[in-house]
Amino acid sequence: MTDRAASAETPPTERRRGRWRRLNLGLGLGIVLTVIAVALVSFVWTPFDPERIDASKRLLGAGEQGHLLGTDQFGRDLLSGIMVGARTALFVGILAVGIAVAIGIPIGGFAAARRGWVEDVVMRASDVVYAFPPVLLAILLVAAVSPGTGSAMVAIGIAYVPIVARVTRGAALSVFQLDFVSAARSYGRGNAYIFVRHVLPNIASVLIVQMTILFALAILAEAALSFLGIGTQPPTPSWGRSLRDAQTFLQLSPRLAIWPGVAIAVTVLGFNLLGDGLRDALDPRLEVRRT
Amino acid sequence: MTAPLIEVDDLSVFAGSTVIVDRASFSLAPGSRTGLIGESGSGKTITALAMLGLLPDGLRATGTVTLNGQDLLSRPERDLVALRGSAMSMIFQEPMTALNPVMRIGRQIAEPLRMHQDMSRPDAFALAVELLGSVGIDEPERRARSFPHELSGGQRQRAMIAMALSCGPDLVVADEPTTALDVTIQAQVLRVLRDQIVANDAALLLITHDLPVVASVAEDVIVLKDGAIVEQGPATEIFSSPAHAYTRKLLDAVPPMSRSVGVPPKHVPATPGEPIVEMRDVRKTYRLRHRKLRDPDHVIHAVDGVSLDVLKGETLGIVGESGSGKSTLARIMLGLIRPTSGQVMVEGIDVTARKNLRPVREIAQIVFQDPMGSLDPRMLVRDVVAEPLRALGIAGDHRARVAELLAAVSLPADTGDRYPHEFSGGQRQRIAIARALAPGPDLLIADEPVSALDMSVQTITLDLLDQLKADFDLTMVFISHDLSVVHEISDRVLVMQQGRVVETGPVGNVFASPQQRYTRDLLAAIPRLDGSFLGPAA
Repeated sequence: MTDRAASAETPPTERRRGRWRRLNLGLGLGIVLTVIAVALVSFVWTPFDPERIDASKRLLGAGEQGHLLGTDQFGRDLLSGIMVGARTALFVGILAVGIAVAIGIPIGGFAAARRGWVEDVVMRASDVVYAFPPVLLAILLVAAVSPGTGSAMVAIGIAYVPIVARVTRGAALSVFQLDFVSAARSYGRGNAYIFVRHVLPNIASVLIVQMTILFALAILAEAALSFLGIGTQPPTPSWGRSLRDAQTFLQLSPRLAIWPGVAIAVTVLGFNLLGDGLRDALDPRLEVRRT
Repeated sequence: MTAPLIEVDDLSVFAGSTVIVDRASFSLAPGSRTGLIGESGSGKTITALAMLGLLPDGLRATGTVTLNGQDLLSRPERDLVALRGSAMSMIFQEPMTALNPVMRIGRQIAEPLRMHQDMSRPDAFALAVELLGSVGIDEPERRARSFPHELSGGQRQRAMIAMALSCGPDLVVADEPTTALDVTIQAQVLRVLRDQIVANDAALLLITHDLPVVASVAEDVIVLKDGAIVEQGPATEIFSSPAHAYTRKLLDAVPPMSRSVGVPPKHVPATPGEPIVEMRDVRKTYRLRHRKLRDPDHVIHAVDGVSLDVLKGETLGIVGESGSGKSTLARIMLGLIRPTSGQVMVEGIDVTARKNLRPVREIAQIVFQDPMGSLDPRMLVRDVVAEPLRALGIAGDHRARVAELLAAVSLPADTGDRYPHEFSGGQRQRIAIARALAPGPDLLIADEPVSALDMSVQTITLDLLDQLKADFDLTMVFISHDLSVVHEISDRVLVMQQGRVVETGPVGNVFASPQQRYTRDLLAAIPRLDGSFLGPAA
């Protein structure tokens, strides 16, 4: 039988689901790569200097005097600001997720490997951290140190540690039950090695998906903190702060709020789609059904 | 001859372009009992699912299946729903997953009754209680109000039988109904199944890889190989004079103990050597957390005061049913589990002391039951086998050592460059054995090493273990629930029940003249090819 005849026999719902899956992944990947590309390009070229203030060009409309998206109340080019803002967004995601993963994975793995009271203590401690809303945590940290992208993101990263720890522990628990872990113990491997070499590769797909979703959340959190004025400080462009600045001119010039808003929404959507698509693509059970 | 109840004609099942069932044709007479046998992957289960119209997504059947004169394959799902349960029903292998865990047993049995016979709730429940009584469940009234997890494995499977029979079907399909059960329970459940089928005038299609089980329940046999029927006919005829080479191969794989009574064991204990393992009064207790604050903790004695010696050069078989503590004992021997009390010495080294674990690893290694779970799926076979060498810091050319080990377990040289999932169960178990042999152990502990394998592969694996034992000068502890397998490989046997050693001695003595009642029960429960062990139908 030819391949085409075979695929014609696959139930249509199955095929449609498969196509959606690939679409999610493709679209998500496309958006994320675009954001990364824009951020990289902004290092070497932007239409205008995003920080240059020019009173004579205040609140220009879209397309006026070569400003594709117009200018803000200080005469700064909006498009250039958004491009440089992508840098901030990515930096924020990498930092926050990096912190969450660097602390959360070892904690979750440790709890799963040791079980018993060690697990109880570790997981309850992480529950305590989990009980604080991330934004509250950020406000506390900013109050203690100083406002800025860095400290806000450290706070967001710490707030996400319990999430990563929990996901890691849950996934690792079932892998630790498997015989190949017992086998590794029987030839003398310790918990740390078993976790890194045997357990982590087997739960990597779960963690990668979780990371993309946290990445999106971190970008949103930065926008929120900057909107509140305790995140990224001027003159560094940030989508969240652009929104805050635009608030005053909402009646006069709504596009100042619309474009940074669109940038945030599209980027977050991109990371979420990527996470969704990856989850489906990395799920070995779905793999079996497809072959 | 009466008209057939169900007639399968030219039935083929495809997964995409792969043929899973290849033009199968057979018919079942009303009230007949037929065994569908073959090894894993032969298409037994898929054939049955196709007959019931229960094929999973992505599979497609051609041909005809005629039940009482109606073709089933061409009928819409709506009509089949009406037939399932009332005209035909199915018993699954794993009753824990086949029963809904949040629904009381009585209601689950009552469900088909309410659906097909439009019974009122109290009537259906009363009948469910009656059915539970008829399949031999004590206190059926109370059990009907229990949830599946509150029943034992045997009781759950009895409940499944009651459910399958509730609407008086013409055909019951049972897919490996006793494979997940202990031997003694298996005998009871098979007896109930057969007697209830006879009492209800139903036809039975019994799917199993276990020939003695078929012999004791079925009158006719259909042999499947790679999706095609190679032989069918009366069981006595096929088992006594098989026409096809494949049937002969299956029959040859049946352990001698299941073939006839009083077979001498393959091995006799050699002159006793020095003990390599000494266990004295070993106990392991688990404390279950109390449900209510005031309740005392529930204590489980997994191993309850076991003392034993494993002597150098022997193969010690440990038999027992699930929960007898045999696997816990094996893990205690290796220091994987610390005993609650007692002394464990391997080559004079105290295993219970944490600092001694390393030297013990080089002396004792283990092979696990499930060759799927015991190999890391993300590692190349080469790395899997070399892991113990690296972990224990054993010097030398690891690559050459791995090649040598793979050759010793008769795997091709390129095995190392592939991943575990590319191999069959038997091959994976060989990889696991190669890994266990890597550090050059003196003692090999095999925990149900062949239980997950097809019978013909079991025989080959047992022979391999015997060969390796001689080649590598090993002492072996062989753990199994299957007495006929232990009989094949051990010199000495130890029978465990509920954490205690019930009986021990040379295989010949224990199996020929068991001193304890429990050992006698175990031996009597082994299904035999002559079909005699269940006794005549009620």
